[in-house]
Amino acid sequence: MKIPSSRFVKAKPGGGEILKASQFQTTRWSMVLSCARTKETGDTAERALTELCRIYWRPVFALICRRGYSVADAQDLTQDFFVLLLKGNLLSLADPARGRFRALLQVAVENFLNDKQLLARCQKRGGHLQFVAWDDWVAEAPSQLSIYGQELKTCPPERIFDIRWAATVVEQALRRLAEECERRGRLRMFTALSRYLSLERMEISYTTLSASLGVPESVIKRVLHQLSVRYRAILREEVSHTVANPAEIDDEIRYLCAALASAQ
Amino acid sequence: MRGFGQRSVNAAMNFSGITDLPEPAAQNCARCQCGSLARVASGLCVSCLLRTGIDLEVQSDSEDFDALLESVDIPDRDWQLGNYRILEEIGRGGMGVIYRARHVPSRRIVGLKRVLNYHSDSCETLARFQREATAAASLDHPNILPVYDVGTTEDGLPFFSMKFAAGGSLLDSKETFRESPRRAVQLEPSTTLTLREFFTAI
Repeated sequence: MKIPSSRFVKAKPGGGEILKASQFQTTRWSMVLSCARTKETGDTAERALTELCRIYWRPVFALICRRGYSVADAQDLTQDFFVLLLKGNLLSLADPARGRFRALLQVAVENFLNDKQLLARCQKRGGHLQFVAWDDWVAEAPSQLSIYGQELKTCPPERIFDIRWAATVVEQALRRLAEECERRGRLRMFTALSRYLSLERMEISYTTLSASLGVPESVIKRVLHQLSVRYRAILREEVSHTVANPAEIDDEIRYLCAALASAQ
Repeated sequence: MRGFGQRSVNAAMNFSGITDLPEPAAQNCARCQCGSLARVASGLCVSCLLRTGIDLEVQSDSEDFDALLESVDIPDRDWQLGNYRILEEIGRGGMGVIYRARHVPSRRIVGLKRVLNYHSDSCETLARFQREATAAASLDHPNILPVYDVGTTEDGLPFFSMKFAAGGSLLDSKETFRESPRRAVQLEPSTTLTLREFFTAI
Protein backbone atom coordinates (compact mmCIF):
# COMPACT_ATOMS: atom_id res chain seq x y z
CA MET A 1 0.00 0.00 0.00
CA LYS A 2 1.46 3.33 -1.06
CA ILE A 3 0.22 6.66 0.08
CA PRO A 4 1.64 10.13 -0.34
CA SER A 5 3.93 10.40 2.65
CA SER A 6 4.11 14.14 2.31
CA ARG A 7 1.07 14.35 4.55
CA PHE A 8 3.10 12.86 7.37
CA VAL A 9 6.34 14.68 6.95
CA LYS A 10 5.42 18.27 6.37
CA ALA A 11 8.48 20.39 6.83
CA LYS A 12 9.18 21.44 10.38
CA PRO A 13 12.78 22.19 11.18
CA GLY A 14 13.44 19.98 14.16
CA GLY A 15 16.38 21.85 15.53
CA GLY A 16 18.44 20.74 12.58
CA GLU A 17 21.33 22.75 11.29
CA ILE A 18 22.00 23.17 7.57
CA LEU A 19 24.71 20.76 6.55
CA LYS A 20 28.05 21.41 5.04
CA ALA A 21 28.92 18.75 2.50
CA SER A 22 32.36 18.25 4.00
CA GLN A 23 30.83 17.35 7.36
CA PHE A 24 28.65 14.63 5.95
CA GLN A 25 29.47 11.22 7.36
CA THR A 26 27.80 7.90 6.85
CA THR A 27 25.39 7.32 9.68
CA ARG A 28 22.00 5.69 9.21
CA TRP A 29 20.10 8.95 9.07
CA SER A 30 22.66 10.70 6.89
CA MET A 31 22.44 7.74 4.52
CA VAL A 32 18.67 8.11 4.31
CA LEU A 33 19.02 11.85 3.75
CA SER A 34 21.74 11.38 1.18
CA CYS A 35 19.51 9.09 -0.88
CA ALA A 36 16.68 11.56 -0.53
CA ARG A 37 18.85 14.39 -1.84
CA THR A 38 19.93 12.45 -4.88
CA LYS A 39 16.41 11.07 -5.42
CA GLU A 40 17.81 7.56 -5.31
CA THR A 41 16.03 4.70 -3.64
CA GLY A 42 18.76 2.48 -2.37
CA ASP A 43 18.45 -0.80 -0.52
CA THR A 44 21.11 0.39 1.89
CA ALA A 45 19.15 3.51 2.75
CA GLU A 46 15.96 1.50 3.19
CA ARG A 47 17.76 -0.91 5.47
CA ALA A 48 19.13 2.04 7.42
CA LEU A 49 15.63 3.50 7.82
CA THR A 50 14.22 0.12 8.84
CA GLU A 51 16.95 -0.26 11.43
CA LEU A 52 16.20 3.20 12.82
CA CYS A 53 12.50 2.34 13.06
CA ARG A 54 13.34 -1.00 14.69
CA ILE A 55 15.17 0.84 17.45
CA TYR A 56 12.87 3.84 17.87
CA TRP A 57 9.35 2.39 17.65
CA ARG A 58 8.67 2.81 21.36
CA PRO A 59 8.48 6.64 21.38
CA VAL A 60 5.90 6.47 18.57
CA PHE A 61 3.86 3.91 20.48
CA ALA A 62 4.15 6.02 23.66
CA LEU A 63 2.97 9.16 21.87
CA ILE A 64 -0.01 7.39 20.32
CA CYS A 65 -1.02 5.97 23.73
CA ARG A 66 -0.76 9.42 25.30
CA ARG A 67 -3.02 10.81 22.62
CA GLY A 68 -5.77 8.78 24.26
CA TYR A 69 -5.89 5.57 22.27
CA SER A 70 -6.26 2.23 24.01
CA VAL A 71 -3.21 0.00 24.08
CA ALA A 72 -4.77 -2.31 21.49
CA ASP A 73 -5.60 0.60 19.17
CA ALA A 74 -2.19 2.14 19.74
CA GLN A 75 -0.56 -1.13 18.73
CA ASP A 76 -2.55 -1.22 15.51
CA LEU A 77 -1.89 2.44 14.74
CA THR A 78 1.83 2.03 15.44
CA GLN A 79 1.85 -0.91 13.07
CA ASP A 80 0.04 1.11 10.41
CA PHE A 81 2.27 4.12 10.86
CA PHE A 82 5.50 2.18 10.39
CA VAL A 83 4.20 0.16 7.49
CA LEU A 84 3.25 3.40 5.75
CA LEU A 85 6.54 5.00 6.71
CA LEU A 86 8.65 2.14 5.44
CA LYS A 87 6.65 1.53 2.29
CA GLY A 88 5.94 5.15 1.50
CA ASN A 89 8.22 7.59 -0.23
CA LEU A 90 9.67 9.13 2.88
CA LEU A 91 13.14 8.63 1.45
CA SER A 92 12.51 11.02 -1.41
CA LEU A 93 10.83 13.57 0.84
CA ALA A 94 13.39 13.64 3.61
CA ASP A 95 15.36 16.83 3.44
CA PRO A 96 18.56 17.64 5.32
CA ALA A 97 17.06 20.99 6.26
CA ARG A 98 14.37 19.13 8.17
CA GLY A 99 16.96 18.01 10.66
CA ARG A 100 17.05 15.00 12.85
CA PHE A 101 15.32 11.67 12.64
CA ARG A 102 13.66 12.21 16.03
CA ALA A 103 12.10 15.50 14.97
CA LEU A 104 10.94 14.16 11.63
CA LEU A 105 9.45 11.03 13.12
CA GLN A 106 7.53 13.04 15.70
CA VAL A 107 6.10 15.37 13.06
CA ALA A 108 5.24 12.37 10.88
CA VAL A 109 3.34 10.56 13.61
CA GLU A 110 1.50 13.73 14.69
CA ASN A 111 0.44 14.35 11.08
CA PHE A 112 -0.54 10.71 10.75
CA LEU A 113 -2.81 10.98 13.80
CA ASN A 114 -4.24 14.28 12.60
CA ASP A 115 -5.12 12.90 9.20
CA LYS A 116 -8.69 12.02 10.08
CA GLN A 117 -9.47 10.40 6.73
CA LEU A 118 -6.50 8.10 6.82
CA LEU A 119 -6.98 7.32 10.49
CA ALA A 120 -10.60 6.37 9.88
CA ARG A 121 -9.50 4.07 7.06
CA CYS A 122 -6.89 2.42 9.29
CA GLN A 123 -9.33 1.98 12.18
CA LYS A 124 -12.15 0.76 9.96
CA ARG A 125 -9.81 -1.74 8.39
CA GLY A 126 -9.06 -3.01 11.88
CA GLY A 127 -5.32 -2.81 11.61
CA HIS A 128 -4.61 -5.68 9.26
CA LEU A 129 -1.25 -4.38 8.16
CA GLN A 130 1.67 -6.07 9.87
CA PHE A 131 4.66 -4.07 10.94
CA VAL A 132 7.84 -5.81 9.87
CA ALA A 133 8.89 -8.53 12.35
CA TRP A 134 7.19 -6.74 15.24
CA ASP A 135 7.67 -9.58 17.73
CA ASP A 136 11.38 -9.67 17.03
CA TRP A 137 11.65 -5.94 17.55
CA VAL A 138 9.92 -6.20 20.89
CA ALA A 139 12.10 -9.13 21.92
CA GLU A 140 15.32 -7.44 20.89
CA ALA A 141 14.63 -4.24 22.74
CA PRO A 142 13.24 -4.92 26.18
CA SER A 143 12.83 -1.72 28.13
CA GLN A 144 12.99 -1.07 31.85
CA LEU A 145 12.21 2.62 31.90
CA SER A 146 10.60 3.81 35.11
CA ILE A 147 9.50 7.28 36.07
CA TYR A 148 8.91 8.26 39.65
CA GLY A 149 6.21 10.65 40.63
CA GLN A 150 3.17 12.33 39.22
CA GLU A 151 4.68 14.16 36.28
CA LEU A 152 4.15 11.21 33.98
CA LYS A 153 0.41 11.69 34.30
CA THR A 154 0.52 15.31 33.22
CA CYS A 155 3.18 15.24 30.51
CA PRO A 156 1.94 16.24 27.06
CA PRO A 157 2.34 13.63 24.28
CA GLU A 158 5.36 15.31 22.70
CA ARG A 159 7.17 15.30 26.06
CA ILE A 160 6.39 11.62 26.55
CA PHE A 161 7.81 11.05 23.07
CA ASP A 162 11.07 12.79 24.01
CA ILE A 163 11.41 11.01 27.37
CA ARG A 164 10.81 7.68 25.72
CA TRP A 165 13.32 8.61 23.02
CA ALA A 166 15.99 9.52 25.58
CA ALA A 167 15.48 6.23 27.38
CA THR A 168 15.63 4.32 24.09
CA VAL A 169 19.00 5.88 23.22
CA VAL A 170 20.43 4.99 26.62
CA GLU A 171 19.00 1.48 26.69
CA GLN A 172 20.21 0.80 23.17
CA ALA A 173 23.75 1.85 24.18
CA LEU A 174 23.62 -0.28 27.34
CA ARG A 175 22.31 -3.24 25.35
CA ARG A 176 25.15 -3.00 22.84
CA LEU A 177 27.71 -2.74 25.64
CA ALA A 178 26.21 -5.80 27.38
CA GLU A 179 26.39 -7.74 24.13
CA GLU A 180 30.03 -6.81 23.61
CA CYS A 181 30.79 -8.06 27.12
CA GLU A 182 28.69 -11.19 26.71
CA ARG A 183 30.44 -12.07 23.45
CA ARG A 184 33.74 -12.12 25.37
CA GLY A 185 32.34 -14.07 28.31
CA ARG A 186 32.27 -11.02 30.58
CA LEU A 187 28.55 -10.58 31.18
CA ARG A 188 28.95 -11.13 34.91
CA MET A 189 31.50 -8.32 34.93
CA PHE A 190 29.13 -6.05 33.00
CA THR A 191 26.24 -6.86 35.34
CA ALA A 192 28.35 -6.02 38.38
CA LEU A 193 29.92 -2.83 37.02
CA SER A 194 27.32 -1.28 34.72
CA ARG A 195 25.33 0.19 37.62
CA TYR A 196 28.31 2.47 38.31
CA LEU A 197 28.60 3.84 34.79
CA SER A 198 27.35 7.29 35.63
CA LEU A 199 28.94 7.61 39.07
CA GLU A 200 32.06 9.50 40.04
CA ARG A 201 35.04 7.60 41.42
CA MET A 202 34.52 8.83 44.96
CA GLU A 203 30.99 7.42 44.96
CA ILE A 204 32.08 3.86 44.19
CA SER A 205 33.12 1.25 46.74
CA TYR A 206 36.02 -0.40 44.95
CA THR A 207 36.69 -2.57 47.99
CA THR A 208 33.25 -4.17 47.77
CA LEU A 209 33.52 -4.66 44.01
CA SER A 210 36.99 -6.11 44.39
CA ALA A 211 35.77 -8.66 46.93
CA SER A 212 32.72 -9.47 44.85
CA LEU A 213 34.56 -10.02 41.57
CA GLY A 214 37.77 -11.45 43.03
CA VAL A 215 40.22 -9.06 41.37
CA PRO A 216 42.34 -6.21 42.82
CA GLU A 217 40.86 -2.74 43.20
CA SER A 218 43.30 -1.39 40.62
CA VAL A 219 41.80 -3.75 38.04
CA ILE A 220 38.27 -2.68 38.96
CA LYS A 221 39.24 0.98 38.52
CA ARG A 222 40.82 0.36 35.14
CA VAL A 223 37.98 -1.79 33.83
CA LEU A 224 35.27 0.52 35.09
CA HIS A 225 36.99 3.48 33.47
CA GLN A 226 37.27 1.67 30.13
CA LEU A 227 33.71 0.38 30.41
CA SER A 228 32.53 3.93 30.96
CA VAL A 229 34.54 5.26 28.01
CA ARG A 230 33.25 2.49 25.77
CA TYR A 231 29.66 3.16 26.89
CA ARG A 232 30.01 6.86 26.10
CA ALA A 233 31.46 6.08 22.67
CA ILE A 234 28.59 3.71 21.89
CA LEU A 235 26.07 6.25 23.15
CA ARG A 236 27.47 8.92 20.84
CA GLU A 237 27.51 6.44 17.97
CA GLU A 238 23.84 5.66 18.57
CA VAL A 239 22.95 9.36 18.68
CA SER A 240 25.02 10.00 15.57
CA HIS A 241 22.83 7.55 13.67
CA THR A 242 19.82 9.78 14.24
CA VAL A 243 21.33 13.10 13.19
CA ALA A 244 22.46 14.28 9.81
CA ASN A 245 25.77 15.66 10.94
CA PRO A 246 28.17 14.47 13.67
CA ALA A 247 28.45 18.08 14.81
CA GLU A 248 24.86 17.79 16.05
CA ILE A 249 25.52 14.95 18.49
CA ASP A 250 26.18 17.12 21.54
CA ASP A 251 23.18 19.35 20.79
CA GLU A 252 20.93 16.33 20.44
CA ILE A 253 22.09 14.90 23.77
CA ARG A 254 21.57 18.29 25.43
CA TYR A 255 18.09 18.49 23.93
CA LEU A 256 17.19 15.10 25.39
CA CYS A 257 18.65 16.01 28.80
CA ALA A 258 16.57 19.20 28.77
CA ALA A 259 13.46 17.20 27.89
CA LEU A 260 14.08 14.93 30.86
CA ALA A 261 14.70 17.84 33.19
CA SER A 262 11.54 19.64 32.18
CA ALA A 263 9.56 16.50 32.85
CA GLN A 264 9.81 17.17 36.58
CA MET B 1 -4.01 -8.11 20.70
CA ARG B 2 -1.40 -8.72 18.11
CA GLY B 3 2.30 -8.58 18.05
CA PHE B 4 3.21 -7.78 21.65
CA GLY B 5 4.35 -10.17 24.35
CA GLN B 6 2.08 -10.04 27.38
CA ARG B 7 4.78 -8.51 29.57
CA SER B 8 5.21 -5.70 27.07
CA VAL B 9 1.47 -5.20 27.00
CA ASN B 10 1.38 -5.04 30.77
CA ALA B 11 4.13 -2.45 30.72
CA ALA B 12 2.28 -0.54 28.05
CA MET B 13 -0.88 -0.37 30.11
CA ASN B 14 0.64 2.33 32.21
CA PHE B 15 1.27 5.15 29.84
CA SER B 16 2.79 3.36 26.98
CA GLY B 17 5.65 1.23 28.01
CA ILE B 18 6.77 3.34 30.93
CA THR B 19 6.34 2.03 34.43
CA ASP B 20 4.84 4.61 36.73
CA LEU B 21 6.23 4.20 40.23
CA PRO B 22 5.30 5.82 43.52
CA GLU B 23 7.43 8.78 44.38
CA PRO B 24 9.92 8.30 47.16
CA ALA B 25 11.76 11.57 47.66
CA ALA B 26 15.09 9.76 47.81
CA GLN B 27 14.72 8.66 44.21
CA ASN B 28 15.48 12.12 42.89
CA CYS B 29 18.88 11.91 41.24
CA ALA B 30 21.25 12.68 44.07
CA ARG B 31 24.37 12.65 41.97
CA CYS B 32 24.06 15.74 39.85
CA GLN B 33 20.83 17.31 41.03
CA CYS B 34 19.64 17.02 37.44
CA GLY B 35 16.12 16.59 38.73
CA SER B 36 15.24 13.86 36.30
CA LEU B 37 13.12 11.07 37.75
CA ALA B 38 13.50 8.71 34.81
CA ARG B 39 15.40 5.51 35.47
CA VAL B 40 16.47 2.53 33.42
CA ALA B 41 17.87 -0.83 34.54
CA SER B 42 19.51 -1.00 37.97
CA GLY B 43 18.02 2.36 38.85
CA LEU B 44 20.43 4.31 36.64
CA CYS B 45 19.39 7.89 35.93
CA VAL B 46 18.62 8.36 32.22
CA SER B 47 19.73 11.99 32.26
CA CYS B 48 23.07 11.22 33.92
CA LEU B 49 23.71 8.37 31.50
CA LEU B 50 22.99 10.70 28.60
CA ARG B 51 25.07 13.57 29.91
CA THR B 52 28.19 11.40 30.20
CA GLY B 53 28.20 11.31 26.39
CA ILE B 54 28.58 15.05 25.91
CA ASP B 55 31.92 16.38 24.68
CA LEU B 56 33.67 13.01 24.76
CA GLU B 57 37.23 13.40 23.61
CA VAL B 58 38.63 9.98 24.49
CA GLN B 59 38.22 7.44 21.71
CA SER B 60 37.25 3.83 22.25
CA ASP B 61 36.87 1.28 19.51
CA SER B 62 35.47 -2.19 19.84
CA GLU B 63 38.78 -3.95 19.12
CA ASP B 64 40.59 -2.17 21.96
CA PHE B 65 37.68 -2.88 24.24
CA ASP B 66 37.64 -6.56 23.25
CA ALA B 67 41.35 -6.77 24.05
CA LEU B 68 40.71 -5.25 27.46
CA LEU B 69 37.89 -7.72 28.16
CA GLU B 70 40.15 -10.60 27.19
CA SER B 71 42.85 -9.37 29.53
CA VAL B 72 40.62 -9.02 32.57
CA ASP B 73 40.42 -12.08 34.74
CA ILE B 74 36.72 -11.86 35.54
CA PRO B 75 35.40 -14.54 33.24
CA ASP B 76 31.84 -15.74 33.31
CA ARG B 77 33.18 -19.21 34.04
CA ASP B 78 33.38 -18.23 37.72
CA TRP B 79 29.74 -17.33 37.59
CA GLN B 80 27.31 -19.01 39.93
CA LEU B 81 23.72 -19.70 38.87
CA GLY B 82 21.73 -21.12 41.74
CA ASN B 83 23.65 -24.17 42.94
CA TYR B 84 25.73 -24.31 39.77
CA ARG B 85 29.18 -22.90 39.16
CA ILE B 86 29.68 -22.00 35.51
CA LEU B 87 32.89 -23.52 34.16
CA GLU B 88 32.84 -22.63 30.49
CA GLU B 89 30.57 -21.74 27.63
CA ILE B 90 30.12 -24.66 25.25
CA GLY B 91 27.52 -23.37 22.85
CA ARG B 92 24.98 -20.72 22.10
CA GLY B 93 22.08 -20.09 19.78
CA GLY B 94 19.66 -17.28 19.08
CA MET B 95 17.75 -17.86 22.29
CA GLY B 96 20.15 -19.22 24.87
CA VAL B 97 23.63 -20.12 25.91
CA ILE B 98 24.87 -23.50 27.17
CA TYR B 99 27.56 -23.86 29.79
CA ARG B 100 29.52 -26.72 31.23
CA ALA B 101 28.78 -26.27 34.91
CA ARG B 102 29.29 -27.97 38.24
CA HIS B 103 26.42 -28.71 40.61
CA VAL B 104 28.19 -27.54 43.77
CA PRO B 105 26.46 -29.75 46.40
CA SER B 106 27.03 -32.99 44.47
CA ARG B 107 30.07 -31.80 42.44
CA ARG B 108 28.42 -33.33 39.37
CA ILE B 109 29.32 -31.80 36.01
CA VAL B 110 26.24 -30.84 34.03
CA GLY B 111 25.23 -28.99 30.92
CA LEU B 112 23.36 -25.81 31.86
CA LYS B 113 21.27 -23.79 29.48
CA ARG B 114 19.98 -20.32 30.21
CA VAL B 115 18.17 -17.61 28.25
CA LEU B 116 20.40 -14.88 26.86
CA ASN B 117 20.20 -11.71 28.91
CA TYR B 118 18.80 -9.56 26.15
CA HIS B 119 15.80 -11.87 25.73
CA SER B 120 14.78 -11.30 29.32
CA ASP B 121 11.73 -9.23 28.42
CA SER B 122 10.51 -11.38 25.57
CA CYS B 123 7.49 -13.23 26.83
CA GLU B 124 7.53 -15.41 23.73
CA THR B 125 11.17 -16.46 24.17
CA LEU B 126 10.75 -17.15 27.89
CA ALA B 127 7.63 -19.22 27.21
CA ARG B 128 9.41 -21.16 24.46
CA PHE B 129 12.35 -21.79 26.76
CA GLN B 130 10.05 -23.01 29.54
CA ARG B 131 8.27 -25.29 27.06
CA GLU B 132 11.59 -26.74 25.97
CA ALA B 133 12.69 -27.35 29.56
CA THR B 134 9.37 -28.90 30.60
CA ALA B 135 9.22 -31.09 27.50
CA ALA B 136 12.79 -32.29 27.87
CA ALA B 137 12.25 -33.00 31.58
CA SER B 138 9.19 -35.13 30.82
CA LEU B 139 11.02 -37.36 28.35
CA ASP B 140 12.71 -40.62 29.11
CA HIS B 141 14.49 -41.56 25.93
CA PRO B 142 17.91 -43.15 25.41
CA ASN B 143 18.85 -40.55 22.81
CA ILE B 144 17.76 -37.49 24.76
CA LEU B 145 19.86 -36.04 27.54
CA PRO B 146 17.90 -36.12 30.79
CA VAL B 147 17.03 -32.84 32.46
CA TYR B 148 18.04 -32.72 36.12
CA ASP B 149 16.77 -29.40 37.33
CA VAL B 150 14.81 -26.33 36.24
CA GLY B 151 15.38 -23.01 37.99
CA THR B 152 15.75 -19.25 37.67
CA THR B 153 18.75 -16.94 38.02
CA GLU B 154 18.90 -14.06 40.52
CA ASP B 155 17.72 -11.85 37.65
CA GLY B 156 14.70 -14.07 37.16
CA LEU B 157 15.88 -15.69 33.93
CA PRO B 158 15.03 -19.37 33.55
CA PHE B 159 17.66 -22.07 33.18
CA PHE B 160 17.79 -25.83 33.27
CA SER B 161 20.53 -28.34 33.84
CA MET B 162 20.94 -31.61 31.98
CA LYS B 163 23.35 -34.46 31.65
CA PHE B 164 26.62 -33.23 30.25
CA ALA B 165 27.54 -34.87 26.94
CA ALA B 166 31.31 -35.01 26.91
CA GLY B 167 31.47 -36.13 23.30
CA GLY B 168 30.73 -32.66 21.96
CA SER B 169 28.03 -31.56 19.57
CA LEU B 170 26.94 -32.97 16.24
CA LEU B 171 28.56 -29.96 14.64
CA ASP B 172 31.86 -30.86 16.31
CA SER B 173 31.66 -34.27 14.64
CA LYS B 174 30.95 -33.07 11.14
CA GLU B 175 34.45 -33.90 9.85
CA THR B 176 34.17 -37.42 11.24
CA PHE B 177 30.88 -37.95 9.47
CA ARG B 178 32.20 -36.42 6.29
CA GLU B 179 34.93 -39.06 6.23
CA SER B 180 32.44 -41.78 7.02
CA PRO B 181 29.18 -41.16 5.15
CA ARG B 182 27.90 -44.62 6.07
CA ARG B 183 27.94 -43.66 9.77
CA ALA B 184 26.13 -40.43 8.97
CA VAL B 185 23.39 -42.30 7.12
CA GLN B 186 23.10 -44.85 9.94
CA LEU B 187 22.62 -42.02 12.40
CA GLU B 188 19.77 -40.42 10.51
CA PRO B 189 16.83 -42.75 11.41
CA SER B 190 17.46 -42.59 15.15
CA THR B 191 17.99 -38.82 14.99
CA THR B 192 14.73 -38.36 13.11
CA LEU B 193 12.77 -40.58 15.51
CA THR B 194 14.25 -38.79 18.50
CA LEU B 195 13.37 -35.39 17.12
CA ARG B 196 9.83 -36.58 16.43
CA GLU B 197 9.53 -37.77 20.01
CA PHE B 198 10.82 -34.43 21.29
CA PHE B 199 8.60 -32.22 19.17
CA THR B 200 5.58 -34.37 19.95
CA ALA B 201 6.25 -33.71 23.62
CA ILE B 202 6.45 -29.96 23.01
